[in-house]
Amino acid sequence: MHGQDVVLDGVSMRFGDFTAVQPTDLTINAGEFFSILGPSGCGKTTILRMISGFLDPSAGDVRIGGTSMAGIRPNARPTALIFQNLALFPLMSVWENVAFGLEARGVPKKVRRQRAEELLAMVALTGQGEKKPTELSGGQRQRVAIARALAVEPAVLLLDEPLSALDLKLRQHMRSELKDLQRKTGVTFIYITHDQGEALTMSDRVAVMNRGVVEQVASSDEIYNQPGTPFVASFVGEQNVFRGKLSGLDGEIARVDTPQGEMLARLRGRAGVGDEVMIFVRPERVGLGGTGTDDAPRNRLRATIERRDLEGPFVNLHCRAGDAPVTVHLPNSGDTASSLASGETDLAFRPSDAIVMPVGDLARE
Amino acid sequence: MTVITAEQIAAGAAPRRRRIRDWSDAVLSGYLLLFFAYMFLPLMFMVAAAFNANPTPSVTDWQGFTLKWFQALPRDARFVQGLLHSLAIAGGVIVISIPLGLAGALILTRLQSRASTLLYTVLVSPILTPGIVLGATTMIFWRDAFGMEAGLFTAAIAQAAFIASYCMLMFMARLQRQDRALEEAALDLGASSVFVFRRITLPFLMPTMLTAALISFLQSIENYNTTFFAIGSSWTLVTEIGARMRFGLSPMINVIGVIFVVITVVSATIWVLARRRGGNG
Amino acid sequence: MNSLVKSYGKGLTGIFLALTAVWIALLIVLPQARMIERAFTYVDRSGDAATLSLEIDRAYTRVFDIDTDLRDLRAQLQAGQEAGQAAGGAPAGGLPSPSLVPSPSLTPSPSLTPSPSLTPSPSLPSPAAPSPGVAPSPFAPPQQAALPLEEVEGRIVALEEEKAGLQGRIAELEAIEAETTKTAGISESYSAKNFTNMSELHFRIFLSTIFYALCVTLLSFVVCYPVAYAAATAKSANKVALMMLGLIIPYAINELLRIFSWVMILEKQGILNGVLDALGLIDMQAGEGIRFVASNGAVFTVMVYAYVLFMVFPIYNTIETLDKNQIEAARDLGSSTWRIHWRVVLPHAKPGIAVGAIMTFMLSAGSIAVPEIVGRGLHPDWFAQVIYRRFFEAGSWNEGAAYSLALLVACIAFILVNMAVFRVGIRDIAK
Ligand SMILES: Nc1ncnc2c1ncn2[C@@H]1O[C@H](COP(=O)(O)OP(=O)(O)OP(=O)(O)O)[C@@H](O)[C@H]1O
Ligand SMILES: [Mg+2]
Repeated sequence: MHGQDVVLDGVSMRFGDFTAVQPTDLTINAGEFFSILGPSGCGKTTILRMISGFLDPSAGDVRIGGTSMAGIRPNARPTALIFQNLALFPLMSVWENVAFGLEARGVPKKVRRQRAEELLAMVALTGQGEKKPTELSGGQRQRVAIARALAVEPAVLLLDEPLSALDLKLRQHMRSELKDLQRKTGVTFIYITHDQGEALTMSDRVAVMNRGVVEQVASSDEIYNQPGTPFVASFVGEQNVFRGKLSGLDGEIARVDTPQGEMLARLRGRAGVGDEVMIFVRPERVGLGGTGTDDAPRNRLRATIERRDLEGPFVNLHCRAGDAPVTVHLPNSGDTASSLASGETDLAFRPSDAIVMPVGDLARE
Repeated sequence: MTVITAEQIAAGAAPRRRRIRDWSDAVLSGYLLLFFAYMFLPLMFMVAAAFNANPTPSVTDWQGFTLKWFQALPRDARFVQGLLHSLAIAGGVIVISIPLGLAGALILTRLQSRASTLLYTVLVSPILTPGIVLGATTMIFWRDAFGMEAGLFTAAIAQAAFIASYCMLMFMARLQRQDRALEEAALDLGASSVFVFRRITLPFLMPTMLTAALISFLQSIENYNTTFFAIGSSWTLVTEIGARMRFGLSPMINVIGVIFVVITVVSATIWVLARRRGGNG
Repeated sequence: MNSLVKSYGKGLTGIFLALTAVWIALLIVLPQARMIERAFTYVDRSGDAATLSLEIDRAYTRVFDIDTDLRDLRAQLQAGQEAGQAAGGAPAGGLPSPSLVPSPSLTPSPSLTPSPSLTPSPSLPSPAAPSPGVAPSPFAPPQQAALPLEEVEGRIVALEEEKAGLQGRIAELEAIEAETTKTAGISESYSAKNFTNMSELHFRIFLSTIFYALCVTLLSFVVCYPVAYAAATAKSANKVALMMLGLIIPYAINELLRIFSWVMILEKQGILNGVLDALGLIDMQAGEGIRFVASNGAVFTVMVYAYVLFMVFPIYNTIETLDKNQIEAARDLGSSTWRIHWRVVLPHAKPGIAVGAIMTFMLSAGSIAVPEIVGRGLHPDWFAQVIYRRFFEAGSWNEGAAYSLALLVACIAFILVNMAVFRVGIRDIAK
């Protein structure tokens, strides 16, 4: 099995006068684990259905392995789709399900049977071939669906929120299994989810979508640390947000007047002096005042601790600085934490850990 | 005029309401008893009279227990022939109605067009047409257009005209419960449309196909009004029963009645039991 | 159309469309269209040839009637003789119906002994020989009073003579007809005359049939609503199963048999009179007995009996989907039983009522079995019988088509009114 690359070239999808996917350019490399992350209804499934051929793009072209897919029906594309609800054939046994694609290609029964057993072994379902799908557990059904899709040796495997029906434990287990499988087979995985943990842990690259627009395509690290838009910044992970006015620019570093005082942060996007802006800083990048060993400049603010939650390895402090709520995640070092149940405290974070973005980008929310 | 306080109302209302409910429940139960007596007593009389030696079907004038009417039935050539005709027609009706009903249902469930309501109306219209009109139109049309005299063939066609609609409704009900993702999954795995239809859609429709065949069969055997008009000089079991009734009552009809009742009671019981088990399990 | 090709591919879509097209064309639209065309084609039969063929036709009908009577009489004769032998020469008592005598010469149905001359003359647009036992005049009481055997024999002879005479006449007339050109005097033209020429009597029958069918529908609703309600709200599973059985069994038993069972009751020698006799209210031995059959009451009773279940099931199905908590809630709020039904149950059951009403109306307006068998030709005619006679006795298919169309239009009008009153669409109706 070898993965192929998938290219969306100006692809868009309209349903009547509603545009589900705005014109999009996207390149997914061969053999990559690529996730599409976004809130419900943002157009993820629509993109997947255009790649698999169940929807014809209103404009633009889908290319797989360099070949345009225009006019090619789903059954002739080198893709396999794993449906949101799995869509196992209820009247067929597990092995018949797995071998279905081979049956459709006229492969003799003996060969089919053998291939099905191999695939079932690969997804750790040896000996379950004679059962009906309804007799399996959720995780097992999941794996049957994967085996069924892999049986046709697709170059691209499309997965539409395949783990959403599973419980947390199983979900985490299946994540690593999927990742292993992808590495083993070398097939291009396009994985759809609205669970950011899933996207960040498994993917080589992630596309974050909102309202039919792909806002950012980058590695997990970059998405988390260098969000490109306010939407990505606020959708992925937790953020503390301060609103203010840009009062000066010094290269990459912007100075912002906020009700909490003047702050410095890295500017992303385009903004000029006097613009309304927002500052994003992650809770784990905020420390208590006074901590810190280097001399780098720090943004400091005075806050009232309202609540302290112990979360095992972390202690979460919920504070308020002026009208802005501020959350701080501290590593649980065992000694200082318990004294921080209430009262006033100084908070600080480095300008390099904070980013500034113009409000305008988020205004269309 | 006494003034009634809210407490008094509250105190008095509950038991009174309860009394009214018991009372109206009792009326309803009594009514049901009457209704089922109305439904079943005549049938019981019919069954009982089949065993009465009295040549005029009766239960009041009992002339001794006999099975002779049962023995007479298979010797009655016209009834036997009528039964064969009925079976032949029913077979024809099944063969015509199932494919037509299936095709109509498949088209209607997937046709995304404004024409679909019109098509639906046309396809169900035979159900809403009086049976004699169906019979008459079939008889006229096949003679005028193809010079075909009314007979078993036209009877089968006339019955199929509305039985196909029933089949279609059954298939549609089933198709509406189908998960479209199954078809898409199959297509996505490289199956052709024909393969998907044969391997996914047809097996899914199989139970309905059997039910539809059974119901078509029963409807066809039972049918009187439509057949009566479309069958010309031939006859089926049921039109023969109708013809005989005009001459007066014969215990032979009671015997047929007994057979129908037994078959109906047994199959209805099986059906209800199966449904209950299906419902519970 | 695109969506179809997407779902089934070109080949299958083609097959499905072809099948559906054949269905619509051959089984629905073309037959209907042909009937409408016939209904609006007026055949003027004032010409000589037409008169001639009419006369030939009448002669055939009469011969047919005579055959029927002859058969009945012979049956009586034989039965009488047998009974005489068995009971030592006592006159025939209970009159056995003809089919009880399995002698080949006395088979009950006329078409088993079809004389070749019975086929209708080719120039007439009349159908193949009608189904047996129907054409003979429905006015003949099916159970004639037992006549003395000699009298029976006398009548047989008389009828044989008349038949011979008629057959001679037919031969003569047909010879004349063969000489004249076949269509002379018969002219066809499009017009509404088949409707406008409807006799006042027929029109009255049409109206009263509609009226009676409405009454049956209303009556059926009144009778069945409590039953449907009780079945749909029954609490224990056993009770539900039992009630379903109680409804399905009579529903599934053939319409004719259900009618038959009632005729047994309502007959002059039937069960009801037997009960009255046992109570001492009448004396059947003395020939007393109330003729329950052939009255409006009888026809209504049997029609409701025959068709009420077509009302029960649709209403049952809709009430079953009603959230029973709504009833409880309304009851808790102190609504009267009457009010609960009026405000909660009935509005919910509307689509079911519409379906039930349409089915019941259509079945009873188009019923031929009940009026023919229960009415005995003594009850005022039902329109279905008139249609039947237009086709098979008057041999006028075009008038028959016109009358059928009138019935169909009445049913469509009823459906439309129902859809408007109950605010349901066609998809709610046919489910
Ligand atoms: N066939 C269709 N006709 C009209 N609108 C559609 C159609 N399919 C999808 N849409 C709309 O397009 C938008 C995107 O739908 P899509 O299914 O791609 O969302 P999604 O990102 O997969 O959401 P979820 O996470 O809930 O599955 C939605 O607003 C939806 O209502
Ligand atoms: Mg989706």
